[in-house]
Amino acid sequence: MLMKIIIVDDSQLDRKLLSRSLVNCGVKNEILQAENAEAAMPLIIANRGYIALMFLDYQMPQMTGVELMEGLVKVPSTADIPIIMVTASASEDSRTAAYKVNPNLVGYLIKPFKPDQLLSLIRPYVKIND
Amino acid sequence: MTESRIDPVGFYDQARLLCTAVQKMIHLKGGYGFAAEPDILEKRIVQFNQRMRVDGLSKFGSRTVFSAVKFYAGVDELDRDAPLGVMIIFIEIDQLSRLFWSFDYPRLDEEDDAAILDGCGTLANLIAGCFVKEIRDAGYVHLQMSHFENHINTAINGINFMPNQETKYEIRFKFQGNRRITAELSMGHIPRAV
Repeated sequence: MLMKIIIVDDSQLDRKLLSRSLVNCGVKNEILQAENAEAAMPLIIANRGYIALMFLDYQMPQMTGVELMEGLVKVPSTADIPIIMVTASASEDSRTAAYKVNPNLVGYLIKPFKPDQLLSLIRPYVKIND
Repeated sequence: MTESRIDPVGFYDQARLLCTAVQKMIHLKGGYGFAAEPDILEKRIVQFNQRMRVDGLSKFGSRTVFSAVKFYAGVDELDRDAPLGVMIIFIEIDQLSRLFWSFDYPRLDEEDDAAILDGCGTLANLIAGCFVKEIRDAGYVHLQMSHFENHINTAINGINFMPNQETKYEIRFKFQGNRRITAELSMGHIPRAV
């Protein structure tokens, strides 16, 4: 079973853009999408152990990306999922809050981002056809 | 820039920083230049039950989508949903899809209201991110942002804002010869960064 990538973002357009950017980077993993934390949970549970990478949008209604991440790191079976936080805000407070919740956060991506920024973050975690 | 009044307490500066943020973002992503400086107008806020009345139809005289993003002085204020201000981005629906096409985003279906609402929210989110950067670079604290809230034509229940504000700025952006985007900004005093 090929490891999967999960994108959680309340913007459908940003999910599509990120998904397309990953494909354009040569990523071969299956990409799953969820519009919020509630929709993401069944995907995470169903694919536990097979998640190569997860992108979490910071600003989402009901439960933010950081709050969802906080829940994931408390559960041993999801604590090790590599997570990249995605946000339009370059706030240092937000970045600090994210790394405080998850010191193993593998990346913090500011929208709008460039393909090479994305590629350098994902390369260690996903299968890429150069 | 065309302005109706220059106030003495810095709110106008915030509006100018929002102008800069919008222009930079649109230029960076879409390559558009702005032939004219935006018009900045001060307007009285009409409120009902401490919610700001917002009418999208009056902005362009056609079907209009708009999205609001709230700003907070810090993480504690964000947790308590005690906003310092709100920015609303209005755009004609056909302009929105053209703009995202120029941004090299995936195609936006103009017939799909959910996609249009989502697209406007995405645009507002990008602009808000640029705006908080401009605010920070101007020496203010780094504002926290909310997620976006989207509407077509009108917000029936109004928009949450800082209730002691009486006025807002309306900023009209023109590019490619016409008014393409309008932004509204209502903001309290942003603390200076220490």
